[in-house]
Amino acid sequence: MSKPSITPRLLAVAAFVVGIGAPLAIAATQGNVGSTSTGTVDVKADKQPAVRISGLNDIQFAASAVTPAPQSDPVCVFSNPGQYLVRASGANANGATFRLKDGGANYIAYGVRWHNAATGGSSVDLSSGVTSAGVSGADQASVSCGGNNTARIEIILDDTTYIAAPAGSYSDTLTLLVSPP
Amino acid sequence: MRRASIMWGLSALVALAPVACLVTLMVSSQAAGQGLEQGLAKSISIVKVAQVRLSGLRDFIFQGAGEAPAPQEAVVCVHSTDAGRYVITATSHHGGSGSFSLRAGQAGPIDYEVTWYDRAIGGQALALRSGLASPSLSGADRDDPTCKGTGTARLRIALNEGDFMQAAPALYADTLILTVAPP
Repeated sequence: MSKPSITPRLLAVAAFVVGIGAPLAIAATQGNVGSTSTGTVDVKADKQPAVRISGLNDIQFAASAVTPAPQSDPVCVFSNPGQYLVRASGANANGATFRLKDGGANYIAYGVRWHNAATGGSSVDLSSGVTSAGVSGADQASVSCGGNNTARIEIILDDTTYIAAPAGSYSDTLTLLVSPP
Repeated sequence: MRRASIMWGLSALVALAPVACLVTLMVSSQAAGQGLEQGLAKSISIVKVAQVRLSGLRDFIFQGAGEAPAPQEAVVCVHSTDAGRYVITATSHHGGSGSFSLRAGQAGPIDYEVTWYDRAIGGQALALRSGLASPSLSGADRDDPTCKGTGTARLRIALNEGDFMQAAPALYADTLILTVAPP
């Protein structure tokens, strides 16, 4: 039996949500004619919540006849509100179930577990296309997390479907969307 | 400045009394000691200072979530009868020494830069510092306080990229006071 090669690929999407704020009153005043003339302008910056996910890498499982151990990838999540929501969507998902697909019509199911820290922390199991509850632990100051990571994604291959799957190369594209709560 | 000097006879001065009472009183006082019959000619002077006007101002509203929004410019009208010359002073309500800042209550600051151009298009860029008058600039409309409906200068506001990115979500604001004066 040949060893299957499984290559889940991750595609990150950061959501920058720009809301439509309330109308801002016009307050500029014009100067009058005189020996000096003074006018005023209001300068306003409506800062919307901002998030970013970065530091993603493809996850490559080594070829194996038996189910490989889960693999994790640390990532950087910036969110200036502090909390964030995450949604993972698999290109080959069947409903809420993530699946790897070979060149034909064979699948291996897998799970996606989101941890709110690069190491340790708490976790939540994600369903494809379903937005999580609020997650804490994002970097609130640095969009690049200061070169560190604030979360990690864990991919867990399903033992039953892995064992049953014919040998081959399986892959999926996982799209990750983070958004302000 | 333009200096106007008009020489009149006393009789003509009396005729102008309703519109130049201060000058008339001065002349009468001097005339009392010297005799009206001498018919002295007196000098009436007025210093007409240059007049200026700043108009065409509009508010600057930025919105964004991640990176700082692009800088914005506004074309404004500067009128100056001093051969089109003027100085500009921009003062930030929330800024510190020389700086321009937006605040949202205790949040912030988001600093911003103020650049003045002495033409509506092109021109010389001058980075302003809060509360400090610019060097003498030219290009103002010499005749029309409304610049004939066009602009003669422009104002550019650029938010500090780092400050904006790190700022907590909120509405940050400042009032920028702009004063033009003859050089």
